[in-house]
Amino acid sequence: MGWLSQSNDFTGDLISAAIVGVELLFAVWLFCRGLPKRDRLCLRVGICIAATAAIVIGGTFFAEPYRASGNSMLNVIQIFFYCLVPLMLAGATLFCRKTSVWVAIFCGIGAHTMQNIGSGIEGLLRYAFYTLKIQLPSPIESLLIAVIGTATVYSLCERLFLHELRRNGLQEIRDRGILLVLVVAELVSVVFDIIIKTVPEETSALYQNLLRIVHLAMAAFILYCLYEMLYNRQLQQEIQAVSHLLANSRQQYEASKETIDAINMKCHDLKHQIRALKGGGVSDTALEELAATVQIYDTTLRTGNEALDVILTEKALVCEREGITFTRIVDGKALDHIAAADLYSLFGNALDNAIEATLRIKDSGDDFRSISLTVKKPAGLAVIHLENYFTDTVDLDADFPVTQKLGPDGTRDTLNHGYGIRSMRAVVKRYGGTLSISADGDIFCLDIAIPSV
Amino acid sequence: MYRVISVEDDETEAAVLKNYLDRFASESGENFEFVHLKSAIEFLDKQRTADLIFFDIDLPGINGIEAATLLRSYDEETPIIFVTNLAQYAIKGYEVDALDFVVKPVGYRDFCLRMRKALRILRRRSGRNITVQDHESMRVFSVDDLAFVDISGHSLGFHCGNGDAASCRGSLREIEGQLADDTFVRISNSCLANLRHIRQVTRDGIVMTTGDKLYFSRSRKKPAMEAIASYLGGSQ
Repeated sequence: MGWLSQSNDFTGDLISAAIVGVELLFAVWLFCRGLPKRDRLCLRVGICIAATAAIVIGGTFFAEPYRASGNSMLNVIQIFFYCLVPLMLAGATLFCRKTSVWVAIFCGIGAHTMQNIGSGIEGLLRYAFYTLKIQLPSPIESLLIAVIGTATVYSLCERLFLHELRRNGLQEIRDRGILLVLVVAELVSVVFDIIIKTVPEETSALYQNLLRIVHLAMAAFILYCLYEMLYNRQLQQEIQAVSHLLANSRQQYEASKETIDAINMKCHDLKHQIRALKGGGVSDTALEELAATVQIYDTTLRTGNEALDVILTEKALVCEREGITFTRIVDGKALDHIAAADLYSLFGNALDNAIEATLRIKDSGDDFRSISLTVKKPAGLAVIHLENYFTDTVDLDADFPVTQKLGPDGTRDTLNHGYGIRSMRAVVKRYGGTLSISADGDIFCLDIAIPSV
Repeated sequence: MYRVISVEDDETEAAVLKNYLDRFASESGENFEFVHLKSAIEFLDKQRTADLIFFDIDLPGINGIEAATLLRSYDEETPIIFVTNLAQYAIKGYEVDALDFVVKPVGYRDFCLRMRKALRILRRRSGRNITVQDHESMRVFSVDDLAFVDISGHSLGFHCGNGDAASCRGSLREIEGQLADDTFVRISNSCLANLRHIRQVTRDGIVMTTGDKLYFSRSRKKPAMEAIASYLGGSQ
């Protein structure tokens, strides 16, 4: 790691330690860059830098007598100290950024590992310089090697995964399994480092360099594993969330279907009873009116597609409750080849979005609560068209409208809400169809086209 | 200027509709001629033509749906909007290719939503012409009659729905530019199709009113399908 490495004097040690300190700070900054900042950030960062300087200077002073006497206690102290470094980095992260302890620990260990890789490269470079007989004054040589090593490794890491890590949200780490891997990573790094540093002078350069390379490879591999685990975890979480939504959907579907089946049965019974009543005391006209009413209730639910009946009736009831005019012209047969669950989720999502959008309009004058749905099959293509009014605060993003829904912490809840449209697209894609969104002034239009089999 | 016919037996309802139409005209900048007929028989007898028809479902004699069915037997194009007390009857509006319906009592914004959809459809009719310098002569086609334009080498082929055809030299991109305001979609590098003339859509292409089958190119399939969906859905 640089401390007590090749140089044999106090100044050399101090410079090496300082370089390492800077590398570590730089590394941890790269990791936690995207996290929300705390107030008076400059002051906090200043304090961290000062603390690092203090540790560097103090540590070098402290280790001096041990180094001079060649005491092997040094190794123990080193191990102990190296293990503390990631915790200190985590502490710095927590001090400067608003985040959870786990994320801070992740940053700390990640940064430390990255710095280790850098330092491994530096070791190899030092050897290269030596072999090539490049002689430079010691501090300049250290500095130059440090800059080259750090620049290469850090920019590589940045491009390969740090950038993506920040984009996908470091906030999502909640998995303890990752931390276990990190701890193992740390121990491995530390042990290897100690081995490399304590290798006797006489050992062949080849052996030393091999050790360095293996150390490097392991550290790189561990970083890669971390990245994979993090990314996969996020995907898994997404899958979980979507399955949860689907499970809810299915429950709702079953519940709705039961209700509608019950209503259907009642209608049926009523019709029988009305027939039975004829010729009794009730006038014929009254009975006919009654029959007509029941008949109407009967026809409401019939689009020709059972699953559609369920979801449309459910949403129609919601609309009635909210005072939204919901007109529908639906040729149920057009969507016969779509699975019931898919229809339920597709229309459920689409109508939920439409309903929410209309409810969000707070206009004192005219009533903008109007939704129009048509499902037809022109030219052999099943076309679903849904329109509703909306306020212009919806981003008609390239792919989907970015939601206005706010999550519990006040930030845009794109995670949960994006799933609605995303799952619609997924369903449509599965049937080889297309989904497009457009706007005509203050009218939001959704078009879904699904080719028949 | 669009002619709107309302087949409605209730005077007050008709007045409300006219009122809304006037308000809509000033808001949208379009002109409308409003004709009010009291019964479906009156409408069918005289075979009145219009750009847009509002049918009250609950009419004495022949009801709105039956009238619409009869209308469709000789007119497949004119957009229809039903006016009804009960949503239930109109749900099968697709059988007469109804555009939409409104539920009484009609609110202005309800009316507006459907009217704007109708307007989008009415505006599709181009009324423009396109001139083609065929080898011997100059041919003039109505853009509405043009089913598709394809290109082979540098030779453009213009194909009309009624079977007429012409060809000349040029680039498809130039023609695409000329027809930018009309209902055309580029389905492949060598073909520009008129959405109005699509008779059938399949997974790999479209069948036109001329009977020709045209194929999507892989890169243009998705945007073309989206344009077709928008058109057939009524958003475009």
